[in-house]
Amino acid sequence: MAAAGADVLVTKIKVYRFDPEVAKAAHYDEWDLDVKPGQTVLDLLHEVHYFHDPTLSFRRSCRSAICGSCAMNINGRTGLSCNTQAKPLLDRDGYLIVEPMKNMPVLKDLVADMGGFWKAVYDIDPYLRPGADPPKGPYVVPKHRMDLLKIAQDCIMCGSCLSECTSREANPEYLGPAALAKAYRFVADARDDASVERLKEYSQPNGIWDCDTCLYCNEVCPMGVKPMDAIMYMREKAIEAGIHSQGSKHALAFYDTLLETGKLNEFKTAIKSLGIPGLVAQSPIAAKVVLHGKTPDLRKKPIKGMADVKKLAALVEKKRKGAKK
Amino acid sequence: MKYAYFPGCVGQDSCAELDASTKLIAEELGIELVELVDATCSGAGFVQDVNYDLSLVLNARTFAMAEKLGLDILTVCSTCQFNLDRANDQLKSDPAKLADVNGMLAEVGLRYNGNVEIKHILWVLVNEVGLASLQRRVKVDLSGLNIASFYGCQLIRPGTLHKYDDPDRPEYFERLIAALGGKPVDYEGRKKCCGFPITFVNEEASMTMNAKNMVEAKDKGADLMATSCPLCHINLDLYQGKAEKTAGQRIDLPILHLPQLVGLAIGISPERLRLKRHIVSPKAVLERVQPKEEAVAPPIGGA
Amino acid sequence: MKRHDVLILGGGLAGASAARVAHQAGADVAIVSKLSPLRSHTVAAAGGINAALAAGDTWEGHAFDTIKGSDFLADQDSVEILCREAPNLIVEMDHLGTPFSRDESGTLFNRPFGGMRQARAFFAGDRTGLALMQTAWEQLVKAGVTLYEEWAATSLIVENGRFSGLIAYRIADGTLEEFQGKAVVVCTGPGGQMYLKSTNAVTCTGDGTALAFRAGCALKDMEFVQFHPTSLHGPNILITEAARGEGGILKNAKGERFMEKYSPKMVDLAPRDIVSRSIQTEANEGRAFPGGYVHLDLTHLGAARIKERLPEVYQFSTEFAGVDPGKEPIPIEPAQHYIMGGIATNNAGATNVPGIFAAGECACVSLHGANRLGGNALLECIAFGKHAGAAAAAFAKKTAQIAGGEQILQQEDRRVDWLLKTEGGERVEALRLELKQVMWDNVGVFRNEQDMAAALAAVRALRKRYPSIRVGAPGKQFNYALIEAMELRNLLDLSEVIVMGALARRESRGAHSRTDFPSRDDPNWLKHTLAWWRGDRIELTYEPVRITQWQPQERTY
Repeated sequence: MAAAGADVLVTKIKVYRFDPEVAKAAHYDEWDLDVKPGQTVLDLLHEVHYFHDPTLSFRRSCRSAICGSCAMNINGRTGLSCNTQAKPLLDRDGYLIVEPMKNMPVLKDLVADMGGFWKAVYDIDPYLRPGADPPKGPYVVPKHRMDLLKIAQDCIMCGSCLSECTSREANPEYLGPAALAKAYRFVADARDDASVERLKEYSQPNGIWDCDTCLYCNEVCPMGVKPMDAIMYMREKAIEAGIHSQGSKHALAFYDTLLETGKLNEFKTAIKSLGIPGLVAQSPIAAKVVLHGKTPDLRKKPIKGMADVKKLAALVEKKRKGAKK
Repeated sequence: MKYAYFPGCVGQDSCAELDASTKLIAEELGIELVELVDATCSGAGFVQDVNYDLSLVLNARTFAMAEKLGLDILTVCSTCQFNLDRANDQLKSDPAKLADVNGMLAEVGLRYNGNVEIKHILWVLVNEVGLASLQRRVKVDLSGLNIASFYGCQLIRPGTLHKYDDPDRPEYFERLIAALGGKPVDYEGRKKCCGFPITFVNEEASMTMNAKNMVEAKDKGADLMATSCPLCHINLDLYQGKAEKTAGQRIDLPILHLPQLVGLAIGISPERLRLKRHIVSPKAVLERVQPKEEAVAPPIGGA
Repeated sequence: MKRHDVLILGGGLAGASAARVAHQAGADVAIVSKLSPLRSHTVAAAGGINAALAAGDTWEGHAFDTIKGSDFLADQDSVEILCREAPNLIVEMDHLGTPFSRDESGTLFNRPFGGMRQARAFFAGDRTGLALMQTAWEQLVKAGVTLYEEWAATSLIVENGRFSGLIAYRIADGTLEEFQGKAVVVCTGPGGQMYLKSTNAVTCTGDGTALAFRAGCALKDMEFVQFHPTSLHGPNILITEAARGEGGILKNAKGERFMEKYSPKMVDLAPRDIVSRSIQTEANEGRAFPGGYVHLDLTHLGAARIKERLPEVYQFSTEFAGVDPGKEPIPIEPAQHYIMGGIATNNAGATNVPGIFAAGECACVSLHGANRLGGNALLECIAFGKHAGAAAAAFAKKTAQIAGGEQILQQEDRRVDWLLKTEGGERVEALRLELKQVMWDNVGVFRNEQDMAAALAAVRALRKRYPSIRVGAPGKQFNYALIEAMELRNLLDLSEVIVMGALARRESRGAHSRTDFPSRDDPNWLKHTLAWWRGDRIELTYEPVRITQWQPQERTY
């Protein structure tokens, strides 16, 4: 156990072990280690590997949080082992458990199979698709346009976001936050000429509309990338471009009811989003709703300030039209 | 304690029991609620998907209304909380944007100066009503119940936006459950997603995660689940049957709204809390709940 | 057995650039990389990439600065090519998608860098290496270039005096395979892990350099090792020179801006060798903090500007040192960072072995002579990566494949087998630490005859002890202990070359600074060192420096 408050802690580090050459099942190994303030989880793993058990396998390279090699599940949360300080975790939890990334098959010990991760990235065409006539010199792109890339351009492809993605966990075909953040990076890039084609592609099933907005990706990214923000931007652009999908249908249905009464009309949204056949398919649920008196209002009274809402909507629309180049 | 109450939409419609129970416990606990009747929907992320700028302006309008009352906003929905917080954070940290928005609000006679905080009732209960105070008011013995919390993603993440609980190790809900006398259940799913945002897009994926969370809670002994978001409630309660189909097993886990759990604990009747509206009946569980016995001195001289 | 026309060893910026060009030229190209390409050390390069692109700048100005920065050891025709091509390369990388930072009018920003009289380092935030690497990799994905990732090359095969292929070990499952090819472009980057304090990644063990050396390629100017002045005290990760470019100031323990003493004109933006020596001198003379570090003060820039222009510096400083650079100065110290020397190539990237080409940090053209200026390495990778890719493709076109790797494959097989099974008493990491310590202590910023002679003896002794190692891991899958043992051998070979070259060179020039020969000696030493592997020993020869326009002059700043 960790001795709290001490400058050097002696603690057991527990590490997930899996060696398909040796056994079908995984197990955990433990080592007693001194942990000094400032030591990272990678420092401790190196200590184990170099001085206690050379069979321990883990990916690492730069040890400065830029190459993305060392993402792993540390005390239940995925992050880079090279910039995760050990002592604060021990102070908080009293233990240190290191496991491979989630949502990926494990190859050996802490080495996860990133094949699925890369496949999703390749799937979104991760390269600039410029127009036919580039300028002689560099593209002239004002700072504020280039700055749009900031929420995505520093992705180091470490996999942390995909590891924590709840949508991916439930649906292994979902492209996932890293691929979609990369997709955004090109959609938002003024030099890319294929936005509409891209958005059409990304609006397909398993794309931008399959994000459940759980915020894990934004939360765990070691580089401050915001995949969820990127996805929401693309959704808005897709709708603007008139690209239809089940997701856009639902969002638009929700939105339309807001513009009618200022509040969500659940009933209407369900009908518009699912359509009559879709609604019929939901009839067991619908029946329960009715039975338990939960039927939402078909007609909702507009809020008193509805005129103001409409005024504001018009002002926003005016501004958007003005901003379009 | 006085708050501008933001009821949200679902909480007064298909989950009207949430609004009802919120008002009941607010009255009991001395939280004065001034309802923002004229506030628009927070957008729930869906309006943001279509027209982010409009959602920002409309939420700013809501903040302006609360600011005029000199009150902070109270929410009872994780989704409202996040969407309002996100808008508020942007307006407070981007003076140019705020000026822009105020330019439009001026046309409807409003202005937002960045002085409103938005708090979920969970935080208000723990931080302001206080756990000790709640504990004293408990009239019902929940000690035989294992109660699983379900925060809903958007109440605990992002950690940079919500300043109270730890997104990795949230404990506000568990502390509340313990103060009310119940036994909190420790399970991973409490931090994860119920699936509601994609129920209309990919029902199978939604039900997969929905089922997983509830099955895990049950495996860890949960008798009851309580959630701080009505949208989660829809997925957990209304869609529990579908989740059971996807999981290939029965779940039978009654789902309460957070204010209903508090109301139950402090002695408000299940009828007034409108528990009958729930699809998965809490009846069997409620039958195990007795009024709390007052401490009785042992008889002198033995039995 | 796999067969391609052109093999690219290493998937970093140089390798990716070479691969792109070779592929465009119609060659069947395959990248063989120890790491997944985006893990290459290119991504750690931070501050910028130089080019005389801005109005009023000239390639000649860039070239002269580079040559003076090299302490006049750079081959000037090569530098001319580099600087002439640079502006077009920036435009090309921009057209391929690199998110260069721009001002509101849409013009590319640039910033001043060490040793450059004019600001000409173009950047993408302070993660320029990451941005360029992503772009180069994206183009590979677009082109569908074959990639063998997580394969560690163990030998380059030379048959009848010509390259015929390489042997590589697949890290995922321990298989050894022969990759036949008509040409190889070695782009394995840095090899500084023989030093105790290095900004290099743990994987930067100079494998390609050592492989090419043992295959008969000359290594040029290996004694010129760059010590970057501003590594973060402790983990020695890089704090980019851009921090000083943006106005950061170095201060000793007395709060003095000591660089005013050593470099009155360029002060904190003097070239790296000068700044490193200055810091080391401050430490040697007792004016540094305990442990030998000094302060890099960015507080006057304010948190907002730091976060905007130097987000990585902000991240590193807070995450790895617990220091908020907007409020406190950052503790920094010199650390090994780059090796100017490497596989000797001509301007087309060709080595003395037909079929073996090289580019990037592992090569030496020589562009950087005795000291490299910041912002020129990323440029080199693209410019000469492309040259080498084009030359390799052209070579492959007019060359037939030679067979004959079977014997070498069997040899490697036996060697790997031996490594896995040998039960010696020496731990690999123990030997590696001894090497790192002796190289750091004896062949570091300041050198002398006695220390270096001791280092040479120590390195040779360590090589003698190598056969007694024990890997300690028998597995086939992700056996990093085995990889480390193979890397150690490469580090030992390269260390010996470095020390021999340093001992022999009796002058101080650029990053090679000797207290016993403190002056630059052009009459005797304006020449390049070439190291040759003769099987049982290393031989040194020399070749002249190629001078075009600029006669060597005194190098002060």
